[in-house]
Amino acid sequence: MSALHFDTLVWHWPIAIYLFLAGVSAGAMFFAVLLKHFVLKHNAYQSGFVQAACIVAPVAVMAGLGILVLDLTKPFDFWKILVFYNPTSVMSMGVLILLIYQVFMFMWIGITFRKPVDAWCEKRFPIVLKLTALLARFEASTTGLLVIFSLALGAYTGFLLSALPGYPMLKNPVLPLLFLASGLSSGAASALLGGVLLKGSPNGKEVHFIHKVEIPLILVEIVLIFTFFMGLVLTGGQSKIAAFNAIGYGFWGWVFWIGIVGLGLSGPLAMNLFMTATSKRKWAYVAGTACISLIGVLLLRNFILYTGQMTIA
Amino acid sequence: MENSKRRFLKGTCALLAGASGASLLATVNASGSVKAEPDVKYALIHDETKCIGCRACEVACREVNNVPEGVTRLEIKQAGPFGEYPNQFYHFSRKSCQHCEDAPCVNVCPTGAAFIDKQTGIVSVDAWKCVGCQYCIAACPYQVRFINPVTRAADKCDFCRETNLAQGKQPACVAICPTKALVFGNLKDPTSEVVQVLRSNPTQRAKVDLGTRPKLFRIVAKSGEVTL
Amino acid sequence: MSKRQWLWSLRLGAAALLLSFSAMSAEPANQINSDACMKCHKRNGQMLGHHGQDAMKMSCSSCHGEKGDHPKKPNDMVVFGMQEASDLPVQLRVCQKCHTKKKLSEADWTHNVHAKKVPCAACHKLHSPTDPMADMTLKVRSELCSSCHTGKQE
Repeated sequence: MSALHFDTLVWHWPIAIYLFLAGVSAGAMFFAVLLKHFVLKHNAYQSGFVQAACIVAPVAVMAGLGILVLDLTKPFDFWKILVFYNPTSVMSMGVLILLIYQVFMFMWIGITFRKPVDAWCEKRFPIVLKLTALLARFEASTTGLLVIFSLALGAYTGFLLSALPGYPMLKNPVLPLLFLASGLSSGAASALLGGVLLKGSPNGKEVHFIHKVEIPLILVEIVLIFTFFMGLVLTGGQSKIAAFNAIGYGFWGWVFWIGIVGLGLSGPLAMNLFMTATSKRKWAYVAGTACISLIGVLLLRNFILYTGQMTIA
Repeated sequence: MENSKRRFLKGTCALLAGASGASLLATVNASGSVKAEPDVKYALIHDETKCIGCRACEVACREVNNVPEGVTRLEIKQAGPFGEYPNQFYHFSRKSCQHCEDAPCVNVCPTGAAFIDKQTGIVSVDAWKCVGCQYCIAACPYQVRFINPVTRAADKCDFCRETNLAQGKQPACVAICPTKALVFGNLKDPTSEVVQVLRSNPTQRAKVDLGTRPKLFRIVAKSGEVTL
Repeated sequence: MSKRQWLWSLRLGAAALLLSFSAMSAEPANQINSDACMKCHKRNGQMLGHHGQDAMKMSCSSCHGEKGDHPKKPNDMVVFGMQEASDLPVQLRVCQKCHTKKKLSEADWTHNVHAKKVPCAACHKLHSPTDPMADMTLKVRSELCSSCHTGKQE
């Protein structure tokens, strides 16, 4: 059996990229809200990290949806997904979540960047000022709902796979939590990477805040991955076989141990731990940690998608 | 700040109440439809003791349902040979849609293109509604779904619902089988052959532990083998 | 002579050439067909199949056995087929001289389940230019199965 082509493989890597991008978007938005709320308050729009998150989140979610549409056998019929809904379908509900999420995402971005938007539109399109004023009235609800829907989106990427009863490794209640946690950390990493690229200070208070949240998040991820595979092994039967097929040997075994556990989880964790909370952070350090973290999450998505489909019930 | 927090909480509560109300309504509707149980529910039995592996069923299905080459709605899987020459034998089992009562493909389909026909209990595909996301193919624990290269929609056995059955005939595979190894009929009719055969034979269904409640039954071949 | 007529004569000429070629290849040029047996069996004895190639170095007796008392009865000639044929083990022994059960099993699984139950000639025809079992479509194959397996014998 080849690692990338086998009989029971239905969903290929574009789906993993889509799951990755949806997670990045949800995580970036989540951390943008946290940064604004707990660190930056009304000056959030001036921070390179919030700016980066607000660029990454829409681009990632749109790109993800684009990949999803192109991956259909009938890409021009994609509108049918938006017209016909099936309440029992995780995908259908996910589309709904994605749409609502995007509405709140743009509303929140509008509110957060109200000052520069207003300044730019004052002379050109004065009508926009009325709209932003209206939006600002609902700031609290928008923020709250955006947090809920970004968490829902992050979890949805896992539920999408855990709704497949034919694959014992994917039919796993821990998967949505694992994808949520890794999605959030990938969002944080993308905000950090984008932030330092947008001339944000690598030693800024945003970086310190995100790194403070990131360590517990990575620890949670490790616990979730452990629980994920422990649960499979203890379930026995095909689940146990699936677990050993995935991490026991071969190409995907290497990806898991070197790429995900080594590079994606231990790497950022070690760098965060060695870098004490008070010491000065450098550009290369922030960007480097963010990059390996992103690579780790992307590998995790592909690893789960492919190895999950290797063993059937 | 205090005020906005309260407003947000109020909004969230209203949202949750609305959502739970909607789902409550959905369950009420569902229980309503249970009462109107249809009096036809089709099932198929594959008698492996009679099957000779001639694959006439595969050929007939392809012809009647216009299934393109390279894909198939039904496949006869072959295991063996068992025993010593010249008294060797093979096992044949049918791989095709199991017409689950609780069908994963129907549950996951985002557009409702995969559906259970209320009149007959047949799991069917509305090729027009299908967008080709292949979620159903991944969801099916029996690996019987495929993308039809002509329609580009998900496809599978539908007991010839749109072809032979619509013309009042038996499904193509059942009609052609030379050894009468396939029995098709209505589970709700106690006099039907399918019910008689089910009552007089021990039968098995695949992967029942998944809770799919399939309606493809098999009468297992009489001679066995040692596997661990 | 118009251009059109000229073209037609060219076409006819080409057709005639092709016909003569195909007639030539249909001619039984194989050595086996000049066997002594052919003096009597000219009509029903023509060997056009794979086994008749010169390279196989086969004669009629390779399969059907030595003439012995033939055409008087009883004799030791082997007759292949289902009806008015030699006993099944006799027929099978001839074919299995070359076609071992291993080779047969590898060629097609149906050999395993029909072994010692039906003669090879029930399905295979050696004298015709092509064996009907070669290049069968799945449909023809399944029809052949159902010509015997009618459900009653099961």
